[in-house]
Amino acid sequence: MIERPVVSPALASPPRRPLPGSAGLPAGAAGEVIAARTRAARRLAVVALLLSGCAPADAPRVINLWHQMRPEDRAVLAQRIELFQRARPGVQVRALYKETEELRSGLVSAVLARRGPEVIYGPSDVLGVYQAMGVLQDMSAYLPPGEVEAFDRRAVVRMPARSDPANSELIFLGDRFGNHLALVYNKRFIAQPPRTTDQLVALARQNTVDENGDGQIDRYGIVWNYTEPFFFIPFLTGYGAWVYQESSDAAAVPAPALDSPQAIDAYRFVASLRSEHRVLPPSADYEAARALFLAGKAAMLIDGDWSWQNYLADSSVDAGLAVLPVVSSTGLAMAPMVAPKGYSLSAFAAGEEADLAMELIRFLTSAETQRAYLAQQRILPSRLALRDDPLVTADPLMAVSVAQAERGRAMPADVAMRNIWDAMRGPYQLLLAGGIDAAEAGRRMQRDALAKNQAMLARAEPDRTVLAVYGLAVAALAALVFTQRRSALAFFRDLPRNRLAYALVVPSIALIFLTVLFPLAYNVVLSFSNMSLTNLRDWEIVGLRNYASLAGGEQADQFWSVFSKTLVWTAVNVFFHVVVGVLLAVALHGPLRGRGVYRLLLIIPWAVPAYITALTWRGMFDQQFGAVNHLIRALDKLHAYLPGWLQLEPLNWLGEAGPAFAACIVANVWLGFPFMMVIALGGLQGIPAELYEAARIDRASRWQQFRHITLPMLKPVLIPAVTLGAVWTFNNLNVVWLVSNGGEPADQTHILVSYVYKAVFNMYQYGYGAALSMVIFLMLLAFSLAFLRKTRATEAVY
Amino acid sequence: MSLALVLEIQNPEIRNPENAPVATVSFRNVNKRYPNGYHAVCDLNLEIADGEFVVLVGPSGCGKSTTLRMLAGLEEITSGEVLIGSRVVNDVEPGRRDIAMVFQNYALYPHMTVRQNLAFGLKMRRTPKAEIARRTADVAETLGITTLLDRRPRELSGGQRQRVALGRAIVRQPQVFLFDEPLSNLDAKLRVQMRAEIAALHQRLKTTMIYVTHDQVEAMTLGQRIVVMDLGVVQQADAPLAIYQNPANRFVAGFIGSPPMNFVHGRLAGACFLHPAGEVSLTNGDAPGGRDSFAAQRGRDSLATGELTSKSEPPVAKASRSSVAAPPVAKASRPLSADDPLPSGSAILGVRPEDLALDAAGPPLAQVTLEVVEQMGHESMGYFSLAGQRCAMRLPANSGLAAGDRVEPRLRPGSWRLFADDPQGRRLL
Amino acid sequence: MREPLLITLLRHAVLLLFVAMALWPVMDVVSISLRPGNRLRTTELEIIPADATLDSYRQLLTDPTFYRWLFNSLLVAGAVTLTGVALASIGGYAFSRFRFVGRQAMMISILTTQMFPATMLLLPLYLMIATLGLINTYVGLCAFYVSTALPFCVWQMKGFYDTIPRSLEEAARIDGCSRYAAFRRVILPLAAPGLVITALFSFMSAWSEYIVAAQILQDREMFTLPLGLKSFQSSLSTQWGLYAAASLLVSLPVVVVFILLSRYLVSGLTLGSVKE
Repeated sequence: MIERPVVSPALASPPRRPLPGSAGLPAGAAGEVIAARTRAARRLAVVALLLSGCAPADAPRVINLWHQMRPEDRAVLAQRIELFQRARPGVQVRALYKETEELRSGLVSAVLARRGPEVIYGPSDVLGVYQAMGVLQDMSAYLPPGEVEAFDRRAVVRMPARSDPANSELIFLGDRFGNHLALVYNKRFIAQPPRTTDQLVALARQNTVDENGDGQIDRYGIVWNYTEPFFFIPFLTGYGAWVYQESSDAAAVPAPALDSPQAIDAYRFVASLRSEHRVLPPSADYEAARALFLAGKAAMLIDGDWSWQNYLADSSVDAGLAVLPVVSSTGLAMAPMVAPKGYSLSAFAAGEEADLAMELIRFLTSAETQRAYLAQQRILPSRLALRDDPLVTADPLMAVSVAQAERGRAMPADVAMRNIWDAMRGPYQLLLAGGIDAAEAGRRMQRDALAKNQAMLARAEPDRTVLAVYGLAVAALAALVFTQRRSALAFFRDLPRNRLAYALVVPSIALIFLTVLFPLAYNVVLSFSNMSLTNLRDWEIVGLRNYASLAGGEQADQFWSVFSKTLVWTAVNVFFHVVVGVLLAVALHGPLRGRGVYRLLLIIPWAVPAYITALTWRGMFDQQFGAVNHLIRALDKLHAYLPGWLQLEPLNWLGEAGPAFAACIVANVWLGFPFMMVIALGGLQGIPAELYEAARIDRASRWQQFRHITLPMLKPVLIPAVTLGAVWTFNNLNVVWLVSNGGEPADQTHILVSYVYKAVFNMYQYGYGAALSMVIFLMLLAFSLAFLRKTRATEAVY
Repeated sequence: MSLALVLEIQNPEIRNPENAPVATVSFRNVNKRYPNGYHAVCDLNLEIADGEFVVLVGPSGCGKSTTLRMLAGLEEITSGEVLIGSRVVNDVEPGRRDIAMVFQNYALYPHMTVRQNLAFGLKMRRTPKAEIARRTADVAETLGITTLLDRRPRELSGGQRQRVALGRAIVRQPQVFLFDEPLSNLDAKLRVQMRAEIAALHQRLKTTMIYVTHDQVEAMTLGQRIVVMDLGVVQQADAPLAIYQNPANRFVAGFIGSPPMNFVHGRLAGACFLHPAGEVSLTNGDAPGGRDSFAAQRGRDSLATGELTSKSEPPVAKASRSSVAAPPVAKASRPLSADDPLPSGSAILGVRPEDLALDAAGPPLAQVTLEVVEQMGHESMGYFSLAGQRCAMRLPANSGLAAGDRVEPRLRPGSWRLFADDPQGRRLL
Repeated sequence: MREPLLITLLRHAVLLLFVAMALWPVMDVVSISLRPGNRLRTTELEIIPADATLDSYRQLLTDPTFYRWLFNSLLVAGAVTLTGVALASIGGYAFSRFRFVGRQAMMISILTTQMFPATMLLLPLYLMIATLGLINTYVGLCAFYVSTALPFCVWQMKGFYDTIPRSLEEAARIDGCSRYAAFRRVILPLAAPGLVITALFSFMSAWSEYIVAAQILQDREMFTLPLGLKSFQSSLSTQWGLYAAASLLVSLPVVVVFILLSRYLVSGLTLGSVKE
């Protein structure tokens, strides 16, 4: 930690040049300068002190725990940690909640920086990834013999060691079972929960009704979260299918079986619920599904164990819980995936910390802790002994939970499972939106899963283009030296003359370059490498492969389609920013009652943090509950009075590619117009009023005045703003990512930056992602330089 | 704020002769080249005496402002030396050169009141507070801006701002005052008034003053000596009248005087000047100032020019921008003496409009047709074309002549000048 | 000449329409934050629900950690604003007034940094911060924030200085200031509107940032506000009311600052302004 303020050379007094003939000058001036510098140094010291935070005097031994625990469970965790710490003075457990994505990217960073948490807590399904990354270490040496026997065997995960696949390591100790889905139903509408899918369909049809006869369905038969394929697994198993081929060899990467006939039957059944039986609402994510059920607008809901208690306790519905039905045509029970959650010891823990960390893990998986969770949060324990506890047996909810968990299949923990989810998500969402049929969905899922497996696990070897890379590097360096040799000389000649200028610029330049140049250089190197999940640390330069894959091949098609979408995105956004901005500026310019108030209110979109705005717009575009569709429905009531173009249909905004993309654009236009408005207002103020007077004398109409005076005079101000706006829009990850929830539906709403983000963080293709971002960078650079040069506005940018 | 008021205050505090160093200013072989290669000032040599009022005049881009700014320390000196007194100031900070400057746009500090503007320079010099207050008040009173002291510059009119800018310079009691086109942002009436005040100020303070302007009227009225510059080169440096009467070359002749001197292209043949519209006989008796007075004039010339010697380069006329950095041409920059025979060949005859009259005693110029007659009240000006050149002549106010009338203007004896018909256009006679 | 009534009405109509659009999402969030827990998702079109409750706000505002996070955010954003403004004010000045070797190249490369997708900078940046041992410190976080905000700020300040006549500092230098003193005593006070805007941008970029903070800060006690508020959210069940209330509380200071400074916005934002 940099705590002590270091007086930088810029602050220390430089030797002053002797001034010829300056004997008679006041001596105080130099003294004043020095005094001012000391004052500045002192101020800096205060800031540095504030920044360094409060470092405790004698540091306790800290165990970092990164966890993914529900908010409700965190209280129990906190209590248990408190107990643990109380027994061990000088030990501090730092528990940190991380979202799935954050946990994963945090661990990737941790591996690279060789610094990370000692203990990781989360679901078992990501273990394969962690193991491949080398984040975990074997816990068996720390556990007394026989300890693991007390656990449900599905809660203890072993995996082949990274270094030696023949050797298996104990990498996970579950403290609970869960994530299994069951059927929640509203007792007001459903007397007896369905035992078979036929009954389910019948009940659902009975309960899909338009109560007030306005042509809109007021209650749906059944609902669940359509966006995550996890909620679809019970249908898959009910039809006798599974995500992997059953016969696959345990050591190899299991082959996907997403296009098996049974699986396609399952897709067909789900699609029929929507299209044939019409018992499903047109779209529902997790929140929407939950809200529909709680509002009495859905009779049945499929949801997981984490939520049941809330439904049963909620006074607005009379909820019941039942195990999922048996599929009538196969006679098989719908079996959800069950996943243990539990603790792993990370590879970063060593020595005493590792011992302490293991003590913590054993404490947190102990019978007392599990019983505390059971008692307070009704969580299904992983210790077999606790299954007979009265807390389980006497509780109807726990009884259903146990019954459903027994039927469940363990969620695979290997690396390829992530690819299964990613491959399923898009086609599955499309299937439910009515975009493709069951067979096509299966075909796409299978194809994508295979491709993703290949992309993720294949390790690229260096090829001949490596030479080209090194050649390029040498050439670039040589070119740099050659073209800049004079500049360097000129610089050293200039240095004494412009010492103050350099002193003033250096802090900014140094900071910017430090935080941008190094990452940029790193990225350049990475773009020629094969860095991926399995070789986070031992990657090597493999040549131009990543760039080549942008130019041709399957990924290239996707790249170009995303690229064209990005162009549309940028052009449409900037167009509306400028048009709306200039329109409002013109309306605001000149005397007008309430001008100040208008201006204040109109800059609000700029003032609200962008991520909040983005999430808000996502909510507003919700089909069921979103304000946009509310408005459309409200307008519809007036439709006799409205012109044709205002008679809109409520849309499934976020569920279909086109509207979802439009939604992103609307949100971004909303965010960006105040900036242009302010810029244009500034520009308008710079236009001399005489010009308009002259134009009026020439009998120019208002429109002609705008066209021939306002617009040309605004140009010098708008051009740099447009350039910058285009660059920012092109690179705006936040809005697209948050509004479309990471490219939904089916990765059809990506722009280049979000595509890169996805490639890097979901597919672990660091090399490919780096190459892609280099291309983005170069494109933008070329665009801006060309645009600015053409408009000769370099001096005036910003 | 009247002139009388300015003159009246002979406060010895404002200028303290005994311990004031001698404020001569010297430019020695000074050059200024900009990084883009533009040669703004070429080999300038100029000596300015203590207490002298020198005006640098020339068209825009002639290097006059650059010269001033080099002296102020705002512009780096590429080569050569600038001295104030005996001190080389090339590397001295502007604030330590003991100079004050009045800028064209006044450069008043917008965030300070008038009082603070006046006091700023003294404060920077660690002058005691009481002293600052006293001097500020004195100067404010001198300039009649006492009531404005607590206003900010944006609340002042142009003339008031100019006054404050002047006050800011005066209050510092510098060795040298620099003025960079200080009056060009004022309207015509104010300009005349301020011009008189500046002249009075110099009368009173007797401080060295260097004044840059592109307005030859200001130059003529203010300067004890005028330095005419063009293309970075001093064309002539002399007393106003000497410059007016004996311009060193065609550029100076054309720049000083309004309306400018008339030029007629032609050829000399013996004592005859032939031009397309006729001929003028230049008898010896007509030679400028006559034989004797011309010789005397020559002598005065070399005295007044003093150290002014453009050793390596002759004055260069405007026509040849590319020749600015060209190697020196022959040494013959001096006009011919009256004893020298008139050269033959092409030449340019120069006559000031006031030296052309219908009733002058000298030879006629040509038969011309008046194109425009401007009535000025006390006289009128007639404009005509001669050999494609626009010329002007003075007419009596009540001449009754109008455009279209044919007249025969005559030269006043001894009033004409001859210039070489080459880019330099040096004066031959 | 007086404006025709029709034009005035048209101006009001356009402005009102866009004001409504600008406020719509904000009103939506307000509405959500006021709904009781079981009615977060509703199909009603109403701004203030009949059963409005301030529970969400109460829950937030009675949580002592909320104040801790608020303090942390203020600390970080304050430090970033101070350093950002300090660096940009001097850097921009040098770019505006001095013609030194490498000026053009530096200005272009500063601009260039805006063109790199920020997400790709995260990983190397984390490595760097970890190597320097700055994980879980505000120094690392602030350094990143300052450097992301700086390019815009430097250009913005440069543009602003360009509008201040040079003769002012020349006068100051003749009055006895060194180049630096001329800057500090004459130019800097005049640059106040530009500085205010620069400060605003620095503050905004630090105040609501989430992604980098999540990587660097490990200790709940050290969380900034966005990070803390995000921890109210879990993976699957979102506490929308709380989140909406929190969003409003996070936005409020920025909106207030923005509104207070909005009169500087037009004069201070000198993007592309032409030299006087």
